[in-house]
Amino acid sequence: MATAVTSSPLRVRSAHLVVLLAGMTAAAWLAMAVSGHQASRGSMQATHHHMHGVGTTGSLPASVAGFALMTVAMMTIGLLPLLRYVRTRTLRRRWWSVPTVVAAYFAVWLLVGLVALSLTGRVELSPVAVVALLLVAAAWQLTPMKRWAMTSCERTTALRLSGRRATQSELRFGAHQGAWCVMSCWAVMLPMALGAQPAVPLMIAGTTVVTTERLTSRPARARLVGAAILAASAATLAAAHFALT
Amino acid sequence: MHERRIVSFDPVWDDTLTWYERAVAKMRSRPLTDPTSWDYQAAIHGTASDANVAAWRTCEHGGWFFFPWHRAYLAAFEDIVRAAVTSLGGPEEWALPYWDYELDGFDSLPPAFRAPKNSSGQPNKLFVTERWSYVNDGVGLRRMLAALDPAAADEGLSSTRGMNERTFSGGGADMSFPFGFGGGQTPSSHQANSYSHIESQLHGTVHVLVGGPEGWMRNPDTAARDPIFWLHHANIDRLWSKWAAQAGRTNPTQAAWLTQGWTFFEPAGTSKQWTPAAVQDTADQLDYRYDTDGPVQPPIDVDAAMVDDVAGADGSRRDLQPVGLVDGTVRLSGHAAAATVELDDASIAALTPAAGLDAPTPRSFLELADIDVPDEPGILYGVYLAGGSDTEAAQLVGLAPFFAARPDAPQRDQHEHRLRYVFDATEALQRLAVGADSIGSVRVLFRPLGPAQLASGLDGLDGAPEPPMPEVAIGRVALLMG
Repeated sequence: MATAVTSSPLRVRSAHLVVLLAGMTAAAWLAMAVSGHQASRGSMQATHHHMHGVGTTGSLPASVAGFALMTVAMMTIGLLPLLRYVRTRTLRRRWWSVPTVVAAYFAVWLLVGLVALSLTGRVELSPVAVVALLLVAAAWQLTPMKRWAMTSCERTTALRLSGRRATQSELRFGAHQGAWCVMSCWAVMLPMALGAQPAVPLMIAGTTVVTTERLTSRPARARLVGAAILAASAATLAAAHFALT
Repeated sequence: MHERRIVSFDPVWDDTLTWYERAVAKMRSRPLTDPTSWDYQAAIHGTASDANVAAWRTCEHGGWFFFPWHRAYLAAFEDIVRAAVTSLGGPEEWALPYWDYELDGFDSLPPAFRAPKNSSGQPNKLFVTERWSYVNDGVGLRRMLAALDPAAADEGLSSTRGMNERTFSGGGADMSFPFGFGGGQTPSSHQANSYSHIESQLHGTVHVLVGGPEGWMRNPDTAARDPIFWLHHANIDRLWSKWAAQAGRTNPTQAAWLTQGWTFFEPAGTSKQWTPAAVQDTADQLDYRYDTDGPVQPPIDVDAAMVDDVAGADGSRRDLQPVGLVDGTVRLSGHAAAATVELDDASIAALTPAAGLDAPTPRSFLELADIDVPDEPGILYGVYLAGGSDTEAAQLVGLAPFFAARPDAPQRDQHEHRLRYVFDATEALQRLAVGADSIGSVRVLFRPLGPAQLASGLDGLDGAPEPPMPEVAIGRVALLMG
């Protein structure tokens, strides 16, 4: 049959998304650097750490804010594949849907951080405790639960087209993704949430682990790489600790 | 040069099949630890065993590695069979035959595969009972599909849509264009979700019709144990040769495709690495040709505008936009099901053709995604689009055979995608719109082709007992536009 076809080539363009996510990440790191700097000036203790972990900065709101910044700094780049899906599936309302999903996703992390930090209160982690938590995180990488959680992170549920139900479906999607991500990455985030030092190297290691897992095409290898990075971090800290004492 | 010829229906036992049967018997007698044994070769495709054995469970489905992996698999297998044939005193020129079920009169299982005795009167190793009983009774696949409806009988065994594709591969990302002759640009995967038309329709349909609810062919873990598997895939491989022989068709040139490596075995039992780059030309690289091979053919005459829009001359990716969505999960358990596609005003305007069949119409697609299947159901579903209430005018958009439906390959390092089908719905929507002012409402209908439908659709045949049907849950049913 003769079918003429109107052409509407919509190619996969993710430049906007990359800029957005890179901007969010940079802003979060910058905010942490500034607040860490101010905190260290305020306490009149010049340390070689420019950033403090969230658990050491005092009040609960400050701790939670610090945790939120840290989550945004570490998790945002890994959201690229998921947000590409959201953007494509909701093209007409992408300026609304993408931020909605992102907000719901981080709201779950924030909630978890709030509960966790309320329960633990202010803690001072000893270097031995940090090493132990890192080893727990490395071990978690190798469990079937981790594999299940990472697989769940790949699920894409339906996003509705318009109206309030669309917003609801976006909130639900972001919240599901947040929950699966917490399931998958809680162990990596725990030491940092509790204020483990040195914060910056640990955050860089953690960001590498979670981002690799999100962007890889070899998930099992990525989990092993993550375990290796965490174990190596633990070993380095332990070596440094025993060299000093 | 070895020539793969069309399988013999008459005589039942020609030389090729006689020696194939003897070689199968010999390979079956080898221990499972021998890579050239029948069961080891089958386990390379898939196995329910989780033993960590070289090359087991490595088949590629749902993407652009489907054709090259199966070509290499068949070529290595054919060498092993030929070695067995010659060791038994058979001809050096033995080559795998192919089963061209698309040809009129050849859509029933070749008689040598359903005869209980071989040419010497001994139990026939090409005959297995693990098939849909109708197939072993000699009922044609087309007739089985006709129990669903006549359109399914025409479409289900047709390679035309696939052969018309101009590029080998469409896009690879979840939301980009899924078609192309060979499937989406996915990572190496037991079960990716960017199916080519030939893989999801013709290939999957034959698997499920032969296997049925309980047979071997319905499931990648057992399919290659059935001796007909190899003739089915020889035909699929022949279609690739035929497609590539059309002027202007080229295989992928990306390094990611050319250099993907797989392990298969030589007749001596030694392993050998294969890549898509090494299996592009069957005559030059693999020393075989098909009896249908000829000089380079002009492309099949199709509407150029339509083809251009499908893949783009450069095979570029294209996002598909959802214009309608079914609310909630669709669950199939062997019975007919219907779901309403929710459309907003903008979608209705976009979907409604300006005037009649010849007016410019955007291409539209029906997507079934996030499919959760506990076990291959071994029955087909016809997938239809219909208007708000008129079920009689339902238009077939495709078949859902649910072959290779489980993302269950714990030994392999890959993303565990859920199955996804994408059907071209343009013509179906156009037909629904004819005579209507607008497309106000669209429903998706699922009609099973299972034991019950076959029992009532095939007069004079006893119905097979109906086994319990695993439930298929389709998390996302959407209408998309490109």
